[in-house]
Amino acid sequence: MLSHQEKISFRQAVILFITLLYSPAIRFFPTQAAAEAKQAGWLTPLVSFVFLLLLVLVFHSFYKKHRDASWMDIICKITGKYLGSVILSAYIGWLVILLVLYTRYYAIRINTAIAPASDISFFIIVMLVLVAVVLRYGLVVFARMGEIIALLLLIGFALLFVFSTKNISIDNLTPISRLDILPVIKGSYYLAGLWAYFVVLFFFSDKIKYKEAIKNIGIKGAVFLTVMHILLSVMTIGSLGYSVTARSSLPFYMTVKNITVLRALDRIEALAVTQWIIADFILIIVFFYSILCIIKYLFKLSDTKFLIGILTILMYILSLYIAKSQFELEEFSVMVAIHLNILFGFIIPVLLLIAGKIRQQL
Amino acid sequence: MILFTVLVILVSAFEIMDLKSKGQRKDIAVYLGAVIVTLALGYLYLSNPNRESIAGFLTDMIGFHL
Repeated sequence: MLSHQEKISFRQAVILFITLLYSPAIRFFPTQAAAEAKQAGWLTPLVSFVFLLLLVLVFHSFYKKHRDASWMDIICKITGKYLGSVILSAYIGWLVILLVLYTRYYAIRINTAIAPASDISFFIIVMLVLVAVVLRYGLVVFARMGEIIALLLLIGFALLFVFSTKNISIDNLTPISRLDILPVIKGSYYLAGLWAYFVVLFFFSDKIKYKEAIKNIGIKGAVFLTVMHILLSVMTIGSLGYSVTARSSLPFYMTVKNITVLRALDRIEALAVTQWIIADFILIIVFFYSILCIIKYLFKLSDTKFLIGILTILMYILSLYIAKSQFELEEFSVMVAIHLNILFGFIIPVLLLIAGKIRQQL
Repeated sequence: MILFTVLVILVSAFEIMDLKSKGQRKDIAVYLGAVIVTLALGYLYLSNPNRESIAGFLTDMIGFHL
């Protein structure tokens, strides 16, 4: 029924959000949580949960009155046409940076994990061409792909967690005392920075039905994400210890590499790499689609499919241009990108909500 | 550089002909804007892939040095 209207449900949108978070979360979150909160790093999702809950409630307030509007409509309604266009252009810049950052991370990860002697350009081209092909079929197609991929990721992650339990040491996760409260709050900032991608779903919110369920499904999604991220940090910090986790660029991969099942089956890191690649695919396609939605709104276009080809070439160039090395890419993520996420994902929506309430437009 | 230019021209020619047949002038203008940005950034990068990266430029701008 919804596919005939080219619309997806809010549940499908939240599944897309959970799926797109998988890749940045396993790369970025355990390292930062261990660096900031040490052995208490596995508690950081509990604080980040409060941030996400706040964000869900902010968007619930936006869509109570403007159920069929897109995030772009709401921004322009609150701030006016010109300031709204400036904010939306800044959102394009943010999304382009994230898209090329994650495309480059995906290529480097394959290069590091399975094909060290290969040229990263090849992996970037394969991913971007695949994204361009699927984008032409529209939101409904990749939202359905997202549902299947989310299920595969969940089963894969559950298997990896169960297999890694014998490597998890309680000594690596304790002791916890009141002295850990501040480090845990500090560590939660990085995870909150990733969960700020929740805002991305609303760039195509005019194609999302059942937005009255934002609060209900959003809270369920937030609880699910909190549990998943606690398990992820228990798995990595519990297996490797906070010191190794904080110094490693791929702690999840190292944890999975240590897994041996029944002393017979090892090298199951292939499963982790496969999961990473398909999660990257969802991440890149959602960001690309959001960029197209903003361009469509700003230039009042009837369709944006004609832009997919040329923008794919542009993203390829920018993926190579974004950084010269993995070190530069990682430093950029910690020093710039995560703060941009907080700005665009939390601060701007909260400021818009306050402005909307003052101007009585919400 | 030549391969990049040929690729952009080929993709653009195909899309612009399609848009022209539908009489969508505004879409052609937006498309040409995207082509110009792509060519400019493409030439900038390909002329010297070792020049300062976007990450380096942005971190320098906010006062950090990588």
